[in-house]
Amino acid sequence: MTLFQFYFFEFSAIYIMIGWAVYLMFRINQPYFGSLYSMCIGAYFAAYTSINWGWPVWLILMGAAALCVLLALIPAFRLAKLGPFPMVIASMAILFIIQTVVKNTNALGARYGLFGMPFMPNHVTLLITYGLLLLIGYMIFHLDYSHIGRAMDAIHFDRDVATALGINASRLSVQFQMLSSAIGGIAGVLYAYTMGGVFPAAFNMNFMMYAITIVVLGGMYTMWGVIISAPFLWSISQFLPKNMSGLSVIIYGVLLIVMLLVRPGGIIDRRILELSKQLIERWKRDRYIFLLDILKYYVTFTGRIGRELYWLTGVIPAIFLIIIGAIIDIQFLGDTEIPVATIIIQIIWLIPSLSVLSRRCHDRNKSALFILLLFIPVIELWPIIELGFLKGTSGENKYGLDAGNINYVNQ
Amino acid sequence: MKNRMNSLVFYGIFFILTFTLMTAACTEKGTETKGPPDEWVIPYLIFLSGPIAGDAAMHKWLTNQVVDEINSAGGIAGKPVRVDYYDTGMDPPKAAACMAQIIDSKALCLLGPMNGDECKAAMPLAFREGIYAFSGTATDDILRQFKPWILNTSGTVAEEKEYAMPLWVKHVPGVKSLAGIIEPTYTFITTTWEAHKSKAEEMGIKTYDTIEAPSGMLDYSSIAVRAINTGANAFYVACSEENAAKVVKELIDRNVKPEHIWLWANSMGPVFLKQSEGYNEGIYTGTSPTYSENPKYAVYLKRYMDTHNGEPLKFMSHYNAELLYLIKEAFEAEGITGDPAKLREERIKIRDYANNKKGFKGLKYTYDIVDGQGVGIPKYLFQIRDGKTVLIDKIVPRVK
Repeated sequence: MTLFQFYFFEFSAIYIMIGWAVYLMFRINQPYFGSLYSMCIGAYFAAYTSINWGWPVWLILMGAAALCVLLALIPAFRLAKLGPFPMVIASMAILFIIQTVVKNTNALGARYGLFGMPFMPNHVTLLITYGLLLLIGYMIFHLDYSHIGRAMDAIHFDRDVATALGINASRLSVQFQMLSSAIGGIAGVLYAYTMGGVFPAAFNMNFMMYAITIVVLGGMYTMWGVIISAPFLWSISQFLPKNMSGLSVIIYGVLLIVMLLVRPGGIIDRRILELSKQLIERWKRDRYIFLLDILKYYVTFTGRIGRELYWLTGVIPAIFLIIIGAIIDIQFLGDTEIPVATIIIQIIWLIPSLSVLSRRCHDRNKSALFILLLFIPVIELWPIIELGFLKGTSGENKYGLDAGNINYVNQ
Repeated sequence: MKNRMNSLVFYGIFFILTFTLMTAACTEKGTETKGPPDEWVIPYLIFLSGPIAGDAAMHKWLTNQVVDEINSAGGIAGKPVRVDYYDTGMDPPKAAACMAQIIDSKALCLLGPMNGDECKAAMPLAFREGIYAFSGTATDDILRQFKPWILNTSGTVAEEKEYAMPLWVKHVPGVKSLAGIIEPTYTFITTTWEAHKSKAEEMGIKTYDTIEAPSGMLDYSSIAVRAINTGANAFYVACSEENAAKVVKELIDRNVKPEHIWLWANSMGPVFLKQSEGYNEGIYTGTSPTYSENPKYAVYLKRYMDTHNGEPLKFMSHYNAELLYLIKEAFEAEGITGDPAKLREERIKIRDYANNKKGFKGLKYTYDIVDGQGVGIPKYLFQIRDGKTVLIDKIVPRVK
């Protein structure tokens, strides 16, 4: 594994962790950023205890989590009673206080930061990071699908109604603040080990905006979105061509705005989650027929599909496969002249993509030959916009029933 | 049952991901057997995007000029040189990942990192892997942290301390008490001010607590009033060019004598001169965007001004670009081949050459490098007259 791959995978995991920590509080409608200042505290704790006292990493991880929980507990009872807006302001203020304290504490290196942490081999760092990610993910997953998860849902939609139903929203908020801070502290320790040190500017306003973008883009109502959005956002800055790398911040901003306007629930919202549950149910009912149905779906050239199915089963898988192909070619196959993995993936994906495209053309009451325009430079924008963004014809057309009336799962 | 199914999917995803990562992490990539390269590729870690990307654009422009000059004179040891830019965007994890890419590319050395925070993010890795960073703009505290794998040619705080106050007070003996108006964007601003303050105290000038000028204020009158209320009769202004112009206007409006204002190096530039027009006559400073002792730099400066609406380069734009000459000297003197088999040995040769170099001819002046630190860098005193900087005095500090 190259050093670059190590940094890519390591920061992806750290960002997922911090995304989950922020997500937990978003779930109960309290945008609390305690996990971010806990990350700062965890990173400094790791640097200080490893450099000055030679503590081993396991002790540092436990110590950082415990310290962050204790510190989070101080304002937690008061914060638990706040609404979303005061919560944002209060937790941002605490973040600035922590930063100022760190910047002016000589024992913590003040403005210079702390460096010279003991070196941990990359594969050990990855093993610890992904082990902890699995553990945290497991914990959040069980929270999400337990009675606590249902209580979180109730609080999210109406705190007063939830309280009337007997849910102690304040107590749940305190518990989640502590959990979120512990995850932040652990992420901070891993961050410090990965960077080889820590300095105050690493936890600034930009970092907070980045964490918010991860959660908003991925989805504020499920834990799964963060798993996609965190590595995706990190990839943007890493894999953009060098002459375009300056655009990454603009891309983050545009994504955030577009997502809030077009899909406030994020990439993985409740509908997608419901759809995936239905698909899992179908898989459980009869997996072989289900697999055959999927295969059939991708080789069918008659009928119509709407915009959503077009994006979900055509465009997004295509982008995902292109990225996978590029990663395999660049990072694993080395400097080959021919992008072997990309070509193989494109050949495999050719029939499915034609199937999806042609049925989308039908939905617009157009022949599948319309796809040919995709091969003409500049003109290609026409089918891209029409197929991707324009609604299908209302009611039945010569290619079949209205796509809006078709059930996804039975498709 | 439903939960069990979901759990299985969850475990499956993570097991596959973790397994793939661990397999890849434990697999050593074979050493490439390519021979010496046809051209020298020098990676440059620089913030081409982010809040102060405009400064980096000037560094890039000048670096490209020096590359063209070296290549037209036969390159380095007969081979052309190319600079490969890695944009950190001023983001610490990205800076570390860029450094990882540079190390993976088996580069012999690199230019940059440019900024203190970039250094802190990227240098631990460079230090661990043993690759030398030709950073003209690192500060001496960064140098102490990552010695011997980084170079700093922007001068030392100790040298700064010895020149600014003595030169200023020599020409303006009326300076009796001093207050600093500081915008704390970088560590070295505060460090430099502390050094100047301590020198002023040694010289019997009364000093006051720092007045912090936060970035992004619309109006700096309250800052100026606070500074004047300390009772100081002279002011050390260290802010961005825009904010320095605002602070200076407020001070002058309140009857502070212009010659009693000292402008910190980075505050001085075309933006300051333009935005403080009518208020800057007589102010003292240590830098000039248009002054150079080296005619070669004057040519580059003119070329830049001709192509950029008459705007000059910022005073520090030469710091990293000129280090390409040092790289050329090091490669040629040490007989660097670029053979991947000798990578480690050649990286050490480059480091040892660059860390101690007598009489290095930079773009603006000639100076020595001792233990990775540029020393004996000439220091100047300029005064603004008719909207232009006029050289008043100069010393070459010799600080042990």
